Amino acid sequence: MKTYFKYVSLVLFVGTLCCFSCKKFLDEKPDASLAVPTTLKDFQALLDQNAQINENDPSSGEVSAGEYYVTDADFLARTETDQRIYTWQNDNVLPALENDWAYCYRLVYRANTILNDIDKIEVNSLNALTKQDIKGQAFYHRAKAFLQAVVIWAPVYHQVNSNTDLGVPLRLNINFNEISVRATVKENYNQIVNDIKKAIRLLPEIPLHVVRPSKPAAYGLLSRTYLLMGDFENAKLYADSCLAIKSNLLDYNTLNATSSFPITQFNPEVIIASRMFGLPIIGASRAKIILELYNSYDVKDLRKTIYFKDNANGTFSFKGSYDGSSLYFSGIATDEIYLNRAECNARLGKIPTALSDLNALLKKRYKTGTYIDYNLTDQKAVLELILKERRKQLLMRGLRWGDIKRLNREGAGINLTRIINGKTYYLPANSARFALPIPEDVIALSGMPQNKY
Amino acid sequence: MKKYILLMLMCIGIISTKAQTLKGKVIEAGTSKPLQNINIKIDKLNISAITNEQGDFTFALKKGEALLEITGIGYLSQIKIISSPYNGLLTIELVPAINQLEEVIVNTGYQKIAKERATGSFSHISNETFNQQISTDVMSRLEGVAPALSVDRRTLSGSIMVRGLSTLTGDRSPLIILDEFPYAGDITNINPNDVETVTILKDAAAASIWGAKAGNGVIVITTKKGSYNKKIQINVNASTSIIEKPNLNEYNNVSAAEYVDLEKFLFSKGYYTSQENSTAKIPLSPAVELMISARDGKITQEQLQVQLAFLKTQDIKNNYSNSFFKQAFNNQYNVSLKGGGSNMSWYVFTGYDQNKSALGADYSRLNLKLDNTIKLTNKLEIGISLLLGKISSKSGRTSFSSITTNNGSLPPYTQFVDDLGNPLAVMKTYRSSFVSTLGGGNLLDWNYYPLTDGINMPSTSAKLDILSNLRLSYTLLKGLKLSLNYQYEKENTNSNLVYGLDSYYTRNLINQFTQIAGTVTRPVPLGSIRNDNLNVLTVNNIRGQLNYDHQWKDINLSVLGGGELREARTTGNGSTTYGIDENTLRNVSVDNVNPYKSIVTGSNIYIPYNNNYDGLVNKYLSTFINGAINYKGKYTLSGSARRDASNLFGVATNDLWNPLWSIGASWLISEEDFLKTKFLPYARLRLTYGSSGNSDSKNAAFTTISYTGTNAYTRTQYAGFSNYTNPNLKWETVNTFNLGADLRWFNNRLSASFDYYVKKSLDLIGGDPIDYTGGVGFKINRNAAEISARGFDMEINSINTNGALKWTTSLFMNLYKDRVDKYYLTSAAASTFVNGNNTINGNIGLPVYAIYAYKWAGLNPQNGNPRGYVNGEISEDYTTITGAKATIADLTYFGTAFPKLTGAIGNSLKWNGFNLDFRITYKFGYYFRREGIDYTSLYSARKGNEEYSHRWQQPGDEQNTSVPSAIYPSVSNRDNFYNFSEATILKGDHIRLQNIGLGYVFSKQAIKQLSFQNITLRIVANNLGILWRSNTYRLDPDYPMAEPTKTFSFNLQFNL
Repeated sequence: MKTYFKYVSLVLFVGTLCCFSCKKFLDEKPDASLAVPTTLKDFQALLDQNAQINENDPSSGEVSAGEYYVTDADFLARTETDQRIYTWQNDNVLPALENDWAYCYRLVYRANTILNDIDKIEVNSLNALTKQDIKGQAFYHRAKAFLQAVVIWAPVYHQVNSNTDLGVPLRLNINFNEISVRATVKENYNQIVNDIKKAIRLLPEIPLHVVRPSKPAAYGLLSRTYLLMGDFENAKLYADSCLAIKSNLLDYNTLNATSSFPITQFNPEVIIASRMFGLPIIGASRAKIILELYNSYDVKDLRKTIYFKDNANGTFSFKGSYDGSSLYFSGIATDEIYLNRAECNARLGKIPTALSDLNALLKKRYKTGTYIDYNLTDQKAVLELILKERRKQLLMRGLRWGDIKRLNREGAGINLTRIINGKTYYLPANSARFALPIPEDVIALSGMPQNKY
Repeated sequence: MKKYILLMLMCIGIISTKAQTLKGKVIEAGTSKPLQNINIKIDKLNISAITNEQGDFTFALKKGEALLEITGIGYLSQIKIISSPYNGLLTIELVPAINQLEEVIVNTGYQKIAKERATGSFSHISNETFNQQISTDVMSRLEGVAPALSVDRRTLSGSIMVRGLSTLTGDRSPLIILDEFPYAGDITNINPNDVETVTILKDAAAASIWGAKAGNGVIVITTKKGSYNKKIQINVNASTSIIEKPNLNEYNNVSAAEYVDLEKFLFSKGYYTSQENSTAKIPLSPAVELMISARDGKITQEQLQVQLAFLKTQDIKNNYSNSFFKQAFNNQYNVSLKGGGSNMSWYVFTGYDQNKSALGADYSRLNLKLDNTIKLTNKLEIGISLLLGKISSKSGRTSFSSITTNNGSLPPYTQFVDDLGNPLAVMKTYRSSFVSTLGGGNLLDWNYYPLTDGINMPSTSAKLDILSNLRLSYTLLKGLKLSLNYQYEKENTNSNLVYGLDSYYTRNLINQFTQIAGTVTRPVPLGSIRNDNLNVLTVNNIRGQLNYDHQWKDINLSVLGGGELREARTTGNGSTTYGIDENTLRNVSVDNVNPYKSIVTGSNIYIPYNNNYDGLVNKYLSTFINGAINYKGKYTLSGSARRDASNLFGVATNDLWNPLWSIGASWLISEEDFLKTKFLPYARLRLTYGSSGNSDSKNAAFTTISYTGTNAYTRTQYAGFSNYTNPNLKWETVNTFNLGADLRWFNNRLSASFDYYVKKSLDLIGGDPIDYTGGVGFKINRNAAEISARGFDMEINSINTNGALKWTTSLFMNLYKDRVDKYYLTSAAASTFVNGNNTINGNIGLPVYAIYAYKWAGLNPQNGNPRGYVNGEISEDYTTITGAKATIADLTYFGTAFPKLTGAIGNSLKWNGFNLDFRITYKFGYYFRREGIDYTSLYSARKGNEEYSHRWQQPGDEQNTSVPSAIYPSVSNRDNFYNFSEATILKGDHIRLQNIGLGYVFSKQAIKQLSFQNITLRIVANNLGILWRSNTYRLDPDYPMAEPTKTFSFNLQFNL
């Protein structure tokens, strides 16, 4: 009996010993390519997944703005949600699940993942700059996503009303179980401005590549934000800061207008490259540029052939994307910042400064030697000119929807109409419908109030 | 553990000291084979003993005469009177009872026990049943012969399940044990002719010894081995199977004639205009191209009509079948030898399989096996086995499902060869009229020829699987045995896919990248493109185990305990090489870094870069204990406990040691005096309860990211989320209660076993819809769900006639019902519940897979619109019916998508050397959704349904059809509504003839001049199809993806 006990206890002893020494055995991670994101390399890797970061910008705004139209046949061949968004219906305008709302908040979550954990990394002389850079990128992307969302789903910024107007939810942590609540438009813009200001302090002047945010990109985004808010002083200030770092302009005379996409991706004007994940209705094969806009280009204006493809049937398609493809650029480029600054200066009464920016830009858009500098003095005329040129330079860039909203706030009275199968659809200036309906499934799951029309 | 030791020690104390020892051995009359598990009972004393593997037994016996009653399954009972003390070894010879049932030994992977002494619920597949079907692999022989095992084929690969569902989102496949250890390689590596028996461990008492991996049930495959004291046996076996051509029934579309007419209509509506102008130059169908040519005046209207009329006569399925399918066959040869002396047993097996599919794909498998067991001393036994599998395969012609375009299916009039048999081009990525004008003659032919494409892109794979096993067992003391078992497995898979220069893939890539600016440069060089992949799986298993068996007067105790380590490591790498010259095998390096302008769209494109390295490690560390105590051969109590730890992500912190356990009891009630009756000569009750686990490495408790590639611009690695942080995530647990009864009548000619079980799966990880403002997608995994399954398994075996004609029947029946007990359901939106057959429904109280449908109010007699209900009113407002406001309350509930009643009846008849067996399987009590017409996909992706011809076309049609009218433009919600309405739900009930086999045995007894023991000739037909089905659409509810093909096999077997 003793012998039994001896053997049994020996085996048990060896077994227990084995288990303790095997703690290490279990420490190996199961998949070599899996990682819990804890290092700067991991965070940067999350922000370098370009397809998720820079190729999913929402297109709902541009789809709703009036710079293009589709033929009746193409309209009928589209899905119902596409048809509904095109005709400014009050509900069910986006496909369920995989839509612009998801794109915006996916980016927010990714930025939050980094902002949540990055301060846990100890700083040393070797990693300090990298850490700053990554943190800055995360702030930039979060601000960009919130800004795109607020332009699409909330009413335009207004000094007074924005304290109560419903904006979009501000998700600032990674707790996805948190119930979504709509913040006010004011809170939205405050958050965006704060995020960008933080990003400005952290980002490098020159990024590794223009697919990554940089100081000039953040300045540019902030200038865009203040312009939407109607804060022209600040919008000018940050446009200045941006152009102080990067002010290259592309001379369109060097481009080949006959090629299918004359403007290259990452051309010298691009400050940060990103593009829309366009709804099919705005796809290059369907979207025809409205003739009013096409006709507004002078024959000496190179954009007339560089931007537009003549379909030889009286219709014109857009081929001037700064993405160098049929997809629509929605990043930031110097041309936009020149126009921001020109507009602000004009509104602030600095007419010559305003015109010098406009002339500098347009000189590179006309055939060499054909451009004659504008030399106006009337503030209203200059502003009108600049706004007209803004529309001509920045079409199909995801900016027009926000521009219409802010210009209407100042009384521009831009009404939109679309005619399909003889039926006219109408979106009057300052309509509540300039804030798109939030996807119904999101409303159903979160219980947030829907936009009212 | 402590408790067990105490129990053990107490039992040792009971041993009586005064008795004399009687030693004996039981052998089979004639063969002298030692017999295990024979019961020896001394009538007056009410004590009994059981023989061990060597046939030995010992008794403590008082002086005087004793009457021994020797009984064993499969043998005639014997009574022997001896006087004690007995000098020397008592040898008892038992005569086999040929017409009685053979004793069933079940293998749990840890021990082999007689089924009638186990408390757990096992299903055992005998060698004879297993071999009724002829197949290349092991698993396909199990369905229909193993009670409680079913195959869910709603996904292409199908999943095997034991007693239905135990998990929602996790892996459903049961754990597969090969002899002693989980088999990590591809199970098709195993040659079925090397398999002796298969045991299915169904309840907790049977399976929970396997711990955290046993939640889905366990299938133990026992391979053949030699045995001691056995004459040499040689078996030679050869089979040829001829396989019918696949019928392509899964491709269901409108007819060519209907489709041409439809395209004419769509063309007149301008539907194709934007496609014609698309910058991506998407392809258009041949008929549309013809109409464009006619519109543009390139061909006359007459030419157009003639050509369209010709297209109308075509049929893609026939066209494909005629040019792609050839006769398929499988050949199988194997030889095995076994034998054994008093100290050594051995077994050698070699098998070769050679298959050719209907598409000309080759598969070959060579199996070698050596197994040796040596008794070094009386106490020490060593076993070594080596298993080798070498598998090669090569792809054949292009499969039907892989011939796709970039915008939908091929049109139903597609032709693949011309009149002379030359391959024809079919639509693919771009319009042929566009690509033929590109590049000024500097591009390669840009057409896609399916007939030759498969041949031009052969993929080959060579696999080498080595499994070696070293077993050591040492008897420390009487009854106490230490065994060590080490197993090493390595599976090397080397596969490559060569896209020849003539393949579409290569030509397309080269052309896309071709740069023409005065000179022609090709960034993707001329030559083949080759993908090489190497995958190496290495598994190390080591187990130390102590077994203790002891027999006291009335008590038999058997305990085993031990620990094991398991490490499964997979490493892989893949690479792509461009510009290979097939003759010299030189290749050209390419520029993956810089963008090139696509010649088609002008946008920037990058040459694909596919080099990758992967590494996966799964580690388990486990301890286990299992014991059974039996009193008087009547009462058995059993218990087991196991703890597992693994390195799986996240689980490390919250569930490192997960204890799983079981208890069980059995009672041989027919041995009780107060219950003894002639009507029930043998009856045993079993009762078990316990839990096992289910772990899934996909679910981790942290946010994990996976590195998936290199950012083309920054040249830095990028990563995406693979899992979102969820600190509460736990392993799933499955608790099973089992109540069983085993009954036998008429000298064991009729036996039956019944099992009632309740299986509760707790903490199930379930997808849960989430507000995607959270940023983590539309669903999130949580330990939110609970499901339970109740079932009843019945198995009856009977020897119906037992004369010159021996007719046996085995019948089994499984009743199964699962329900959702708890589910985190935040959305009651109707659209989540109607989606197809394959969505988990979270409705508490209803089956896991419940079939729901939109309420159907028939077709509108005026226009053929499908009609549903909104707030109880008949409505055609499809956006509302299918929209977010419609809830589950607006739907009709039909029932479960899993059969409630399944089973099989197998019959075997033997007469004068002839034998005939056939098996019928059945499934009842479930529903499925058939595919209906979807006009949106018919217009945009050329994917219709043959019911198009039965569509509503004029008032009155609604009396005879439920197929909605065709409308333009299509309304996708209208299509959705119809497809998910009551009109497309069918009953799944059916009866199937699984296999028939007819054989003749030439035996030496009958034919004296025969130089073999016997020769068997057999013809087997498999997958003979459905005998009866409830649906009238001629759909096979069991095979929604592709129907099985009939197989006819011829088998010749020599036994020496």
